[in-house]
Amino acid sequence: MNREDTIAALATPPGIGALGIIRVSGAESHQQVDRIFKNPKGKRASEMNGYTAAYGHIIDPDTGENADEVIILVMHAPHSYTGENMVEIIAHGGPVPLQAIMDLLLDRGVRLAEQGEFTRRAFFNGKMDLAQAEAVVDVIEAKTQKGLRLALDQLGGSLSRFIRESSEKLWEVLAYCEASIDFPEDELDGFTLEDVEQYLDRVEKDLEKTLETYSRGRALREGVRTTIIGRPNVGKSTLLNALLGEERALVTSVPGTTRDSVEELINLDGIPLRLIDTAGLRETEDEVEKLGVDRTRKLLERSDLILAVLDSGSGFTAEDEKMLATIPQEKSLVVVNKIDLDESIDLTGVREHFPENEILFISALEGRGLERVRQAIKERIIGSEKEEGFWVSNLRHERALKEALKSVKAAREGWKSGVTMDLAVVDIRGALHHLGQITGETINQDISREIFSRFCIGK
Amino acid sequence: MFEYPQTYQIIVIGAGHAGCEAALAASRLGFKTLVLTIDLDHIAFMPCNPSVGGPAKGHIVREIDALGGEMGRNIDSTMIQVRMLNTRKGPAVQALRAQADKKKYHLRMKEVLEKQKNLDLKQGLVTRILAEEGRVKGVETATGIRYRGEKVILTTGTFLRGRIIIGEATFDAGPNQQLPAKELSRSLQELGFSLKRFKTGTPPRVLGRTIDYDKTEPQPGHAGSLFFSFLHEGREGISGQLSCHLTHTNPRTHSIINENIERAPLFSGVIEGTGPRYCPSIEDKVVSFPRKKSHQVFIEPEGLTTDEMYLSGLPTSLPEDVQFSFLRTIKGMERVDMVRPGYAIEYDVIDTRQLNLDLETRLIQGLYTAGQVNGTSGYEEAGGQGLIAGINAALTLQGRKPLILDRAQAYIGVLIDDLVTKGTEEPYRMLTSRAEYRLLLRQDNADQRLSHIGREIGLLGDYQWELFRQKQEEIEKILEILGKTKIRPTPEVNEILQEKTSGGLNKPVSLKEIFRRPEITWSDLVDLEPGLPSCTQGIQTQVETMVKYEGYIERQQREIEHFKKLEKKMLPEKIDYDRVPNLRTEAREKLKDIRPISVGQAGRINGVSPADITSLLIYLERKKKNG
Ligand SMILES: Nc1nc2c(ncn2[C@@H]2O[C@H](COP(=O)(O)OP(=O)(O)OP(=O)(O)O)[C@@H](O)[C@H]2O)c(=O)[nH]1
Ligand SMILES: [Mg+2]
Repeated sequence: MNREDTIAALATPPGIGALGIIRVSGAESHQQVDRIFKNPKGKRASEMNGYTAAYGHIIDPDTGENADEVIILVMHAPHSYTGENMVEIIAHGGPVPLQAIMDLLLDRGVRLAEQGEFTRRAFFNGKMDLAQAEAVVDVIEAKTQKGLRLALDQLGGSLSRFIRESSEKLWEVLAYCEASIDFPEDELDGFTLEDVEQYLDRVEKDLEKTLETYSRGRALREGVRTTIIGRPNVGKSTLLNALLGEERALVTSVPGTTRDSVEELINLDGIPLRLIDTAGLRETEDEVEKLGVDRTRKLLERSDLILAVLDSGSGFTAEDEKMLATIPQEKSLVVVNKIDLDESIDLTGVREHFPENEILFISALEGRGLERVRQAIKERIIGSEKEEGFWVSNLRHERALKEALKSVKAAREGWKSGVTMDLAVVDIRGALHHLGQITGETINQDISREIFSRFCIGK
Repeated sequence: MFEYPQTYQIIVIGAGHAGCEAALAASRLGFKTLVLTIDLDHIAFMPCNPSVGGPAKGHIVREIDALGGEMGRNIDSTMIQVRMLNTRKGPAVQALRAQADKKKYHLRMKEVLEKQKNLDLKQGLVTRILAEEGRVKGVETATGIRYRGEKVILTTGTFLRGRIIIGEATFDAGPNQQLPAKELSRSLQELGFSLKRFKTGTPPRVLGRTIDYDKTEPQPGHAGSLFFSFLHEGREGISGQLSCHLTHTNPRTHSIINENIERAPLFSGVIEGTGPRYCPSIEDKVVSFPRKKSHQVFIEPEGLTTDEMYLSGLPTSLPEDVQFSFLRTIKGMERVDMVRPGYAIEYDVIDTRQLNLDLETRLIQGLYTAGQVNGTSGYEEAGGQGLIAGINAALTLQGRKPLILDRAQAYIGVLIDDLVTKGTEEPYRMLTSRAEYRLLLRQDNADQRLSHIGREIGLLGDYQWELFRQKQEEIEKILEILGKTKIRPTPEVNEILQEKTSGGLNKPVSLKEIFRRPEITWSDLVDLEPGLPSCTQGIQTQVETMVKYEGYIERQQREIEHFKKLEKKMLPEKIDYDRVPNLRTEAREKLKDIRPISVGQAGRINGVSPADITSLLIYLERKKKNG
């Protein structure tokens, strides 16, 4: 817990404007904002009084590019939520400009806040009582139980493969360096001094590529892929139309109406959503339909979010069971449709697979419960007070990747310019530390295992 | 039972590398000290490799020396070869390693103990530790003597229920077939200690004159002023160094081992103890790495007055006849004469999670444990712990706070913290990769890190302290000169630099700036500025490291500040973990068990999560507010 450094995060209270606020806290927060904030009259955060606001633009100081039009609210320690110097940046655009603002801060030495960190700081600065603080511990606890690691599987297959491979290569380099330092007279087969630079080079290129193809960028540029699935006839197309507010997809009472997926772009309070209606999931003999079902499975893998639709009218079936078993919990929402017909569907099977998720009850036909569906989608993407949405956790992934890349670069450049192994190792360890925030590996616990499993050591 | 007429303040059981340091520290700090050992002819004995130092281990020896211990001085006066390892891998990991004359090493240490004021040295096999109401009272020996003492330091190495294994043959024995301590284990168990069984091993010894050295590669020592002790810095290096020799096993060696593998105690189930991964037996290496066609064998002399050679790389517990056969397949050993077979030894160790960071046991007040009995391996690791145990027994008798070195101060700190906080599942060897702040825990600056502590405790003598102070002054002076001396971009200067494949200058820069370049050495600086004051190798290295590493060192220093914050958040001795809300059950049990002294230490316990630490912090904060 480093109390000195300055942290930033998206403040995401539920409700309107959730996307608009970035909080910055820490002794240097005013100066940090000064670097990127331009007010027409030359006002600076570090010179403003507590609880005053100023209008202006966030400008990239390197390129002069305008990221967004904003209002900043300045607070002085101890009169702020955390008890530290704080700035709230109220941005007016959607996620893309917000992202740009976060990047400007984080690239200049501000750290992305850990979960619950604002509240924790508030407690230690005496701004909060015990009951409130314990609630925060509960949140941190919930996160710890899921594993501190960010769910790698949540990322696309190739992305997580890239990260695993890079981390594996770095472990190899590190094990080699550490072994040759601690066992200078042993023979280390299968790896040579020359390999070090080559490996670092490769990892650097891989990480660069990984960052380029990063899904978060795609999600925000092209829309968050949201796929609607469910048995035939449960009302998927009707749900799409309802969220869209237009009759786009064909709706009939004949099961298997939708054969090819239909894609529509909608704007959910500033979040671009790519809504995809699919062919109903089922084992089938019909060749044409089979094609559609196969395609659906592929689609699911590439989806950021899945809406799994059940039919309250026909009850919970074995096919529903099968569907829930195949989709990952962290990117799925369960929607029970047609509650106008019958509300007594047995949800035991749902609870088994999705013990923690909220179940959404709607009538797509009558438009009931749709507001809650929109809200739930939003929370999944941006996050709520208790949980991080995938957008934020992807932001963490990306940050970790960027930091890892920086360390690998430093290691490679140092190695090339002739710094000694003991120094190069510092940066290699740094890179592994950052990747470890994604993969869950810790260096000090795992290094001896790596050395002894790779090399025949000991005399 | 005969009641010995004299009451001691501190009793040390065992006179190995831990025991000697413990006893010397205790008596030098003015306490009436007794050392009991099974055999007076094996004081500071080296039953395994005849060498001291190497990465991390050499660092520990320097630390022992800076605190006022004996190991560095003892090896300096008895070494027959010395090398500086890792010279190209960076100053942080450079390490000295010396071959010892085993006999001389023992004899010199024995003499130092015998001459030490306040110290009695006696032969005796301790069978029982006496304790009343959780407080240690003394010890009893097998021959019926009861010694009373206020503090007892247990440093019994691998003697507790020691069992030697050579093929099908097993003996109840300590290392080198000495008498084992059979009954002491039971006494410890009766006091409530939980013990574990570890295993280690040693290679065969052979006669030097039966080796064909022409077929091996000589491994000579290094010239120069290379010493462990800061007392000896700048002295002329030792002369007449002996050489080690390198040879290799080959497929024939391996096939003999493979053919007899079912007779190997390691695989037949005879050996139960857990062995170290970093020092596997040759049969283990052959089985685990079948694709490796040859393994290194270093032939190391055991001393000047013996022709016995230690075969580093070949620890084994195969039957003696198999050892004999596979040795003769090795290049240069075709007609070798084996004089002692290698063996494995199993022994009891204390689960160190029962200790506090000052090495006192939590169960019995006044009882300390140190060295291999704590599950470590290596003479250096033992010496470091022995020194700390001896110091702390003495400090508590003086009513002073115990000495606890932290992970940012010393390898000894890392070692003890690991043992006490995490425990160990195999014989623990110090590795530089275990230290988070390796760039700061260097061998060259062990004196800077620890001399003032040794001085304050009262172990570091006036002479060594004065040497240290002078050296510090000199370092500061030279750093200042380097910073102030500007070198102008003259053709001569640029010629010197270009010769070093270093870029020329286009404006005046300080010598310090030039010294930052990796390719520039101290002697280049002298070429550029002949007026530089001359100084010892030790000072040159330290200045060079401070200049070249500055950025990295500052980075680690910042990390350390962060680390220290949680280390300084002390946990009350009487904290009741049942009353700390929100702790998970596993964390609660572990905390009750290990009783960390600080929040920092608590965080390193396996099974205590960051969330548990937050709960702890919140609890402490509330206690503070409510008074
Ligand atoms: N009562 C009621 N009927 C609904 C509701 N939603 C959809 N329906 C009806 O259910 C039938 C199937 O709806 P679709 O939206 O085509 O279902 P689908 O899941 O897209 O079906 P396929 O494309 O064939 O897989 C239609 O007759 C809809 O009018 C609802 O909320 N309540
Ligand atoms: Mg449809």
